[in-house]
Amino acid sequence: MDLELSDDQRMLKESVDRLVAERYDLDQRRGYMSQPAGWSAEMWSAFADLGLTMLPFSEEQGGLGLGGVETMIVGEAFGRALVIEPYLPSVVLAGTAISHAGTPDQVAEWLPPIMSGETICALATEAAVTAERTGETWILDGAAKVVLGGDTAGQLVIPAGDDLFVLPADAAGLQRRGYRVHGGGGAADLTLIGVKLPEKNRLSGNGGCTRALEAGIAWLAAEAVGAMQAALDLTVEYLKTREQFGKPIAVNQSLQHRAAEMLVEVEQARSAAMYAALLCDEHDDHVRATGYAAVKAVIGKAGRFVAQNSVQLHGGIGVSEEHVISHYFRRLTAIGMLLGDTESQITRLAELGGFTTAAPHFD
Amino acid sequence: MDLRFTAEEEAFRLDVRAFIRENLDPVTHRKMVEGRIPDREEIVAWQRKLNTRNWATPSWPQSHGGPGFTPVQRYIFLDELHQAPAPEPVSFNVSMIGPVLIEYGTAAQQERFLAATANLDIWWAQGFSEPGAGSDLASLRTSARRDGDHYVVSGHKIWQGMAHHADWMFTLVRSDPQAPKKQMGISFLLIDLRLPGVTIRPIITLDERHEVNEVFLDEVRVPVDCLIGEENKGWDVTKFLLSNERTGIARIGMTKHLIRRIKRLAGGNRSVLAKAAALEAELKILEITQLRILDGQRRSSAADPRSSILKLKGVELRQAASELLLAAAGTSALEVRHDDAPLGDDDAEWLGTIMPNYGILRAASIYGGSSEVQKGILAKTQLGL
Repeated sequence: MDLELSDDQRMLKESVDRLVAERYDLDQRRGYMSQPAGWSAEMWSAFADLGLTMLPFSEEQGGLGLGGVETMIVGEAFGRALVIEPYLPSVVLAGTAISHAGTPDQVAEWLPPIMSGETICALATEAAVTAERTGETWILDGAAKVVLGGDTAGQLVIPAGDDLFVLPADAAGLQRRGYRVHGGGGAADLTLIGVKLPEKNRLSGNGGCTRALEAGIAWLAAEAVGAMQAALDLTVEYLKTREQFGKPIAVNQSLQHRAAEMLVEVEQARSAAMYAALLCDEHDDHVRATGYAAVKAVIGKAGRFVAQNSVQLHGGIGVSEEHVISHYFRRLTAIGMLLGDTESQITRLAELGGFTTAAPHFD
Repeated sequence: MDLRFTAEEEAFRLDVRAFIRENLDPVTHRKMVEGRIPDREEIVAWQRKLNTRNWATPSWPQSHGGPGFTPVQRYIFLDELHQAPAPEPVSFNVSMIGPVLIEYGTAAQQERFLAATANLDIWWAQGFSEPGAGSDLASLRTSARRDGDHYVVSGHKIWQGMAHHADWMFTLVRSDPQAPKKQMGISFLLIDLRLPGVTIRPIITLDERHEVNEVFLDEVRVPVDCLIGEENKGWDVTKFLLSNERTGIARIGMTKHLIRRIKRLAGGNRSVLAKAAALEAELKILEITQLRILDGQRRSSAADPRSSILKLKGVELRQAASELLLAAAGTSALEVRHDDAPLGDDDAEWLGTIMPNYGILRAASIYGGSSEVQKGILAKTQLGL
């Protein structure tokens, strides 16, 4: 057991932290949001230049070969800065799906443009699509909703039947309706009517999708920690400086205790994010499935508690669009809902039998 | 970064489990599984078994008869006891007074008490709280007046857990009522409970059990060689005692045992199983928090204020599990059946302890620093509030 960062990991953390500290304050973020894509192509290039878009992929596949901990470091920094560029959709979700499910040829075709940042790719996580095979051609019909990053993606990965399909966003028969998402970033609803794809666009099996969702949960956990810690820090600072009745409001024990309860939840979220980061190397599918369900359940609950109470403790200013705390509130709410909310993860964990059996520890 | 235990640590876990399986008396084990409280003799026998391997004193250094466990080994050891479940070594002996004797005791005091404390030849009670001194412990009023080679002690102590089993009591007394600060006039005394002037009275708690007591001290003559540390410096000793040995404070293994019982009673009740899963999710993550704090202890032996997180969340989950167990058992749990009822059929789930244990577990968020005190500590030390 060792829970310290390595020297290399510390260096990565410093450089990512510096990048977002210098180029991602709330005003800059507003500027990025107002660009045509809803995010900044310039920042996206900056992330790619730092190697972040190729970070989690193996060296064999042309990536940096870094792991869950490094991704967590990036996620935490992005969560603190409320980064809106499509890292989760393109690198974490679609990239992981392709990297796990693709043949070497498919990976060589689809992954490099994601790693270089030149193509934004999106994975449909809430899809009802069928795939019929006719000779060498697959025909896809159905719909997908809230495809994160789907509004600006050039490439889409869509689960259909037992497989995943990669298709260009301008494929004939594909309609998409893009929109902004509360909390930052964009998404799209897709309709597929007789979309024709060659066999080479089929990524065999659904394991890639499972891996992608797990990576997505690990990413959201890290992002949540960054956002929750920032919200807690701002709230504590506010308690110390805001005066009412002639005294800083921090003198009130009820507010001190609420802040302490928030701290407990932030630390639990941090544990969840670390666990998620290290779980990606686990070979046992059941251990990963139960573990990620627990992580997402805790992140959703803890994030909601911290989001609600950081607004509450800020008082009126907490509900204004102008104040950053309201942005953390929205992002944490979205994080809680994406890729399975607390209630659905708990249901899943119960179906999987949980961690402790009914049997005695020993007879 | 790596959360896994080493092969040696995993082997150690199996070693502990095998030792418990082979050495824990089946009746004691059965009582623990059912949530009953074992008898004095059963607890003594078990601690002496553990002591044959120096395991009765998991936090003591090898130089004083401990096993020299690493923080991770201590955690694994306690986790196996909690999950088995088996009685923990008596905490008053091994987590409280033992480390104090090692840190502050004279050579003569160590010689006189340490081995007997480890082997439970002496059973200790904790004489801290008073009717007017709970969370505000330093306001205690029990007085100690020096008279030659003795302190003459008078006062009223309360909430002495298992004091009816105890031989001695480590006690905080006010030795200098004129001290400028209330923390400054306190001394730490060891009192033989057989001395004239000591009266122990039971307090029956809401579980209808006799676990705690009050102790009246009426002009008890305590020899001065029973003073720990310096006169009027007892508060330093107390702070050391209270900050010491927080490993396993989250009692995660105990909550796992409750979850096993919930699952046995729930059958196919989906609502109960979903609530159990919600507890398990948080418990799994609390385990990671526990490991993070252990990892910190490997680097620094200083008390970690984040331990308050373990206490708060650990108690919250254990209380919630006891509440869910009560729900899973249903109204049959309302039948009053005491711990001394005969052990029944092996396979039948004993419902008699579920309501009493749910009730008495409310005390877990009160003793050892109430949840409100823990929040105050976190606000002050971690948030600067």
